[in-house]
Parts: sequence; structure tokens; C-alpha cells
Amino acid sequence: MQDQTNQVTDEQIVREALHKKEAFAELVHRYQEKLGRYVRRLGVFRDEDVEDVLQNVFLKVYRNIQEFDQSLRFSSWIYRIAHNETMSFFRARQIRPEGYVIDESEEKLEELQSGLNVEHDVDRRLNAERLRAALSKLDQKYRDILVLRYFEEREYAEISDILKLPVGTVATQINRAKKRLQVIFSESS
Amino acid sequence: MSNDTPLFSPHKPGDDLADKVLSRIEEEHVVPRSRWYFWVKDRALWVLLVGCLVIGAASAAAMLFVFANAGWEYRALTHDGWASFLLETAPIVWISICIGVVVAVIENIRHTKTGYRYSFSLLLGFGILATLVGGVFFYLSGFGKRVEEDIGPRLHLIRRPVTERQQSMWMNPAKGLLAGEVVSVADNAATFRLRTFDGQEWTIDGQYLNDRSRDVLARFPLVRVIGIPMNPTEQTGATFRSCFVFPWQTIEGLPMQRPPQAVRIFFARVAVPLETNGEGARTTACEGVRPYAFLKHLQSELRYEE
Repeated sequence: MQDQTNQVTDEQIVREALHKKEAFAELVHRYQEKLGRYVRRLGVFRDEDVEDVLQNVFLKVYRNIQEFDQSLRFSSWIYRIAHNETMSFFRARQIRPEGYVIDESEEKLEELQSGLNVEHDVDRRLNAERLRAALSKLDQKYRDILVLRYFEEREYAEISDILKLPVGTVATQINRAKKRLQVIFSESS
Repeated sequence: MSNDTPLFSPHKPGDDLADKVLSRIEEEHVVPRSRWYFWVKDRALWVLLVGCLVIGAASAAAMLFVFANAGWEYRALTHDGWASFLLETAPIVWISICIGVVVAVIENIRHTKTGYRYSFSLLLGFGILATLVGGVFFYLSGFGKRVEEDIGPRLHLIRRPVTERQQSMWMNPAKGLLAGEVVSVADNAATFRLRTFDGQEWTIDGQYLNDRSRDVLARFPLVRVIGIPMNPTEQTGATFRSCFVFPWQTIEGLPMQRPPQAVRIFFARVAVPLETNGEGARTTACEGVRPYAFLKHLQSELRYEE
């Protein structure tokens, strides 16, 4: 059954969930961990807040499930909702992201760092620390887009669908984000 | 996989988040919105988009009508310079509405299902092009005049339509400008009577008019007269000496002159020739009329349709 579950597409589950509420639980299972990580990366720190946001995300998904169509990947659609709900969370609490939980592996951070034109420290851990600090100082819109590109490993077209931006704008913003990060990273040394 | 086989494992209670979500769905009576809701929402956006484009096109048509009838060829007579001319004639309200519509169109398209994929420059280009193309179509259908003269004042968008403003610019005998309806023309146009747009009647001395001006008097019911105010003469009682007569026409479609001619006239307006002596025979009777050389040039260039 587990093998069968893995073969079932999100779209099939969506169709099933329209008739059986319980089937919706499968979508929650599939996405709760990924979306939880994503919401934390956007700057929601406390576990209870992450859970609140996730509950709102899934309720919104359920309420608007008939809006989803095949022109979009389901994962892009649910990530879009998660992004918007997180921003609503910040607005409602009138808070900026609480620092930044960058719990990324050094490998992922190195991948980001390799895209920057900066001097690398010999010590990988030190590099990772500096990069985490630099990321936390970056403007939210730049950080969000780098999160999607480097930590969520989304393609430009998917980021376009998640953030509802033209692909050209996504590319421009990623470049700008990297340049800005470069500056902050260099200044921190 | 048969139809009876469940697609996946049934949900086991104890999975906190899924339990909480399902409980909230029950407690808060959350139900999926119907397909119709999203269908109507999508269609409403498109209807709004079309509505915006129609308003934009109507404003663009009115804008074109105002540009066509702003009196460019007579600018040197009615205004001291370009700044005062543009300030008085520019269709600020229609231009502002067109800009507002383009912004609304961009936002509208961005909110459609896939509209966010288009770049800002593409949406801007589309908004401007659609508004102008629609505007040209409406203008050529005569709708531009209707919007400027009937709808604009009724909606309090403009106080005076361009035709009214033109009329008041030409009610300026001190500046040598009159316009109105030709009531009667004496033999050989030695004199003619003109009922100006403000209702006054003038006896006008026409003896210094050339053949082109006399032709206009004979053919057109509404005219503009350029000349010099004078003391009433004993013989005719004329109080205004005419030096040039042009038709008074509202342009509702394409320029009446052939396009190359219209372009030549347009550029001639931009650089009004300086007054020089001996530029054609000028009687001393019309000596005060300026810019004389330009008016002669204009008269020779214009071709009129009735």
C-alpha cells in the first residue's frame, strides 16, 4: 500500500478529496513536512506559529480545491498558498520575520556560496556561519526568492508560478539577491 | 488499480496536523467553494478588462477629437506661444483617464489565472495599443465627438467641449478674429453679414478678400474671419474688415487634406514664417494682420471638402 501511495499523484488525491474529506489527510501527510520547512525558512520561528500557519494553509487549500487546475503543478499551487499565508501571518502580527532559521546543511549553503563572487574561507563551517548571518540581513523579498531557488530547489518556472511573477522578473530578482548577498557577505569579513 | 481499491492508506487518527485540519474542517463547516464561484470570478475579471478597454477607447477617441479640432493651424493667431496653446487645448482629462485605464488593464490581466507570466513591458504595450486602436476605431465612427461634446459635460468630466472653447477663442474682434454663420453676401462679396457664435450680427467689409476667401464664403455656411476691426463706414456700415476667410469645420474623421499635405501644414505651423515685406502683394488695408505670410501659405495649402 505504501508503494501504491507513492505512485498516486497529487492531482489524483485532489480529485478523491472532493468526494471524501478523509482523502485530504493524505495531502496533509505529503506536504506538512516540506511546507513546515519552507514556512520556517521564510522566517516563522516558533513551532506553534508554524503549526498555525500550516493549518491555515491546508484549510485554504481545502476551501479552494476546485480552483486548482492542471495548468499548474499542484506543488507550485500549494507553495503559493503557503507563501501567501506566511506573509499574511507577518502582516496580522505586524512583525517582521523572527531572525531567520537557516538550518541548511553546509552542502546547500556551499551551493549558494558558489554562485557568489566572494572570497571563500578555508574553514567550511566559518563560511556557512558567515553566509547564514548574511542571509538573515537580506531584504525579505530577496531572501524568499533565494530560499525557493537554492533551498527548495525550484526551477525558475516554478518560482514564477509560486510568486506570480514573470520568469524574466524571477531571473532579475535572483541576480539582484545574489549581488546584494555578495555585498553583505563581503562586508561581514 | 481497480475502482474499488483505495488510492492510498486510510488516515490513521493520531497524526496531529491532519487530525487538527480535519477537525477544523468539521467544526468550522469548511466546504470547498464551487467550480461556479471560480468560473464567475474568472469571467468577471475578463468583463472588467473589456469594460476598462471600452472606457479607455472612448477616452482615446475624445482625445483624438480634441487634438484634431484644437485649431493647430491658427495657433499663431489665437495664442502668443505654444505653452499657452497647449495649456488651453490639451485634453488633460481624457489623457488622465487613458493612463488610469492602462494601469487598470495591467492589474486586471495580472490577476487572471496566467496573466502574471507576462512581463510589465508587454502588458504596458498591450494596454496602450488596445486603447489607441479602440480609440481610433471609435473616433472614425464619430463617437469621439459624442464623448467630448455630450458625455463629458454630462458626467462633469469637462466643463466646455473643445468646439465651445474654439468658438470663444474666435470671439475676439480686438485680436482680429471672428467666426460664425454667414447670413448674407453682397454682390462680389463687397460686404457680407456674419452672425457670430455669441449671437451678434456683424457687417463685414469683404472688398480686400482674394478669390480663395470669396470661394469659401460662397460654399461654407460657417466661417472664420481674420481681419481688422474698423470704424463703421458711411457707405456700408461695416465695422470689421476681412482679410482672410477660412471655413469653420469640425473634424470628425481623417484629416480632409491629403496626408502629405496635412503633414506639410503641420510642420509649417510649428515654424511660422517670419513676417517680411514684399511677401506677396499685401494691401495696406490688411497691414495689421499677422502672420500674413503664413495665412497666405495656409490658404493655398488647404483643400476643403463640404
